[in-house]
Amino acid sequence: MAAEPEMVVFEPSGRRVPADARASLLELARRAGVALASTCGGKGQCGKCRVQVSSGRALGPAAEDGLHLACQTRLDGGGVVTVPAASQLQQHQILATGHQTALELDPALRLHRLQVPPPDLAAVRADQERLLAELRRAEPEAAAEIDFPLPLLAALPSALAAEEGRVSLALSQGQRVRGLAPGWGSRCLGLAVDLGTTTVVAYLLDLESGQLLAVQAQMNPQVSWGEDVISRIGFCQGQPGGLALLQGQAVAGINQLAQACCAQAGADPVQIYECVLVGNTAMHHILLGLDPGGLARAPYAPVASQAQEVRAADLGLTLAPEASLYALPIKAGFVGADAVAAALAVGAQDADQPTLLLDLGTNGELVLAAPERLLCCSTAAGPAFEGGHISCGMRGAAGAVERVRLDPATLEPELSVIGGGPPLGLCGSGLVSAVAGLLAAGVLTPRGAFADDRRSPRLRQGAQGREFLLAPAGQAGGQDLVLTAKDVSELQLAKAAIQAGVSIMLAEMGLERVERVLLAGAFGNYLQPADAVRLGLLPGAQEAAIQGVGNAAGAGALKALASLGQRRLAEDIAQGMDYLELSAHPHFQDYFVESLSFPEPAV
Amino acid sequence: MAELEAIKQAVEKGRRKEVPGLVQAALDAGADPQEIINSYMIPAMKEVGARFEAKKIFVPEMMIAAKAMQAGLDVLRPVLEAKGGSQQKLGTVVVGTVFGDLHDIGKNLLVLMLESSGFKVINIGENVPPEKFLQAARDNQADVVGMSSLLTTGDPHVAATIQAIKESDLGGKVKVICGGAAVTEKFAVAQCGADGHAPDAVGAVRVIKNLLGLN
Repeated sequence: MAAEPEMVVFEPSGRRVPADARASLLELARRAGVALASTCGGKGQCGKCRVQVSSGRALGPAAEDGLHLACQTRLDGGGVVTVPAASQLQQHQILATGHQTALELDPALRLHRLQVPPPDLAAVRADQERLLAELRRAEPEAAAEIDFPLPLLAALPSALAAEEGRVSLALSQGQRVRGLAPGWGSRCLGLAVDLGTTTVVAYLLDLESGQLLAVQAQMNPQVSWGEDVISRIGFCQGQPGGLALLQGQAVAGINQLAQACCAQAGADPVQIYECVLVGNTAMHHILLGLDPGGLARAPYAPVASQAQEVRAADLGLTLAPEASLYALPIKAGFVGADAVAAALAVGAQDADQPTLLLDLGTNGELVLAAPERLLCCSTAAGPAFEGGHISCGMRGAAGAVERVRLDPATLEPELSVIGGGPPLGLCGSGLVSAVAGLLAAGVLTPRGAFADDRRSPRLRQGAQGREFLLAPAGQAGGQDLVLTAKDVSELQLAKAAIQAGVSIMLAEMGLERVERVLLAGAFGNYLQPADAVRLGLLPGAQEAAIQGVGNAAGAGALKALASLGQRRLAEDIAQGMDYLELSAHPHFQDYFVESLSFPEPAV
Repeated sequence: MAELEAIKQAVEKGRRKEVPGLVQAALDAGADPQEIINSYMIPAMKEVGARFEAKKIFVPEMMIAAKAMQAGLDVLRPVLEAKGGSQQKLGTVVVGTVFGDLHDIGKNLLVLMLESSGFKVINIGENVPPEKFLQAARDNQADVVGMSSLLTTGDPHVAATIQAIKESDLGGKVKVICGGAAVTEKFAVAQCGADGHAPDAVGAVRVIKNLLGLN
């Protein structure tokens, strides 16, 4: 019988890993799934990873207080390491563009570092048997029957041979082998993906430490087949093989992001064992190869709404071969897994006061949370919030005016440009702030018309009606940057769609107003609360109650990646939330027209 | 009568909340309900339409004005019915957005503009298959079928809808017109055989009137 390897035990969690004198205690803690604080990344500089070596022989100096820096200390053989509360990182703070979310760590799988003894002539046991025996020592709660995919079994002998029986085994929920790698240096990574109509964002998470390793974003490659959801659905329906083509594009995009995230983190996509997907219903369906056709005709029924779990490789994703993909549940044809994830991210189910969660885009997704009830709807705002259908409109990229400050007396505008160069166009938030400024200055009437009695060299007649000159060609990108009366009208249509949706939801809940407004998405992040109030976008909401929450859908996907409990919570949210179909609402048109005007200026 | 001029002004400016009271005041002062519509409200909407075509106002202001006029019509409708005989109608128009397309703003604006111009309008909604256009036209003895299409992917559905009507028992009896951002006059009229085409709601009202010999 080969000697059983010595173990290093981390207290107070009691988690244990085989001893490894070549690895730092920080590395061992990571292998054991113990979240140790470390901001310098193991360089011995930050002093956050201080631990007590309670038993065993420490290789490395102790500080005056007797504590060791885990990143600078190794242990010769087994022992007990106590992690003081100050060094524990139970709730990791992730910063998803401005919004901090506490990340609870309880992942779908764990990576076990095992020292598998060689076969013994006296009592020959199969490779698999010896491996599973070691696994049960490390993970006493492993199931009696462990599902071991044949391709991984096939790779077992070479994995065992490579590093003298040291292997890393990824086990999901105690019963299914998800991956096998030689040695103990492997990592256990997860990828959270927010598949948007326009942008795809991927987050690489270390499932052992809860550390966010990388964030990457790129355009959805499907954009070449149509800018909006309806035209993509049309393509899937109109072309033989259209769905497969668009699915392949989405998969390729995610594979590229996985590569980019891994490059950023010094990792490899084969170390990604788990992937969580959120997205609107159409993107969700196309990625899973489900026909989105039902979303294009009333009553907009999706193919499936429950959470889906599939083998990632079956979709064409090039992660670990046996990696799993979990897609969050969806609510309705136009309230997708992204809305469910955003609700999860902001804790909508625990709202103690009426809270509105708003994701503004071509299709606005609204969730109204109150104690005891969650209500959601979607409303077709059109592309104005993303700079579409605007004479000088553009997306929120370098060169876009993201904010306009207007002197109410002189009407001199001050433009904030993304990237700091000359202003090339107006993105959604720039459009909103320009209109808000012109309203406040009395240049625009509450009906959205340029006031007849205002005179300014910047106010003039253009080809599309009256317009306001924001920057002359010489200061802009070679042509005059203007805001036209038609642009204002496009914003009115977009605003009215959102405002009408909010008003109807409030009426449905019997509420007068919302106490808190959370603006999700890139546009929501840049939208100034004062401007939203000036436009009347959020009926009754106070400026102080409005805040941006960044990419809430992505943050929710991360939560669901880090924790099975959070997945169950997302499923409960989707199940328990009520859905309001605005297109079937008898008074939608009345609310809509009522909402076209801007509020009268305060006296 | 001062009230009548005030009604015209209030509709033009889209003051929806004021219109019903002004209409009631005019009725109380003895004004003829049909005259309120024909001589004040419809001219007000004509003025609004002209301002729209001159790019002085845009879709929101026109919708607001049309809603203001409807608020006035809501007051007048029971009065007209009590006098025996409903409002005179210029004709019946079935309006919908073609199959595969969920856009409704332009189509709904056309509904408002047609109603404001004195037509009876059957709004059959969005994402309407050809047979539903046909059925609605037959059931309502429509004079005109109007279809809206905002997506270029809607072209086959525009063609199929026109063909379904032209080849049915209604062919030659019902006029068919198309509009919306995706539809060109060349495609609708020359290729598909529509009777008319208009780029926007105000233009559509004029085209429909021309087709029915009302101008």
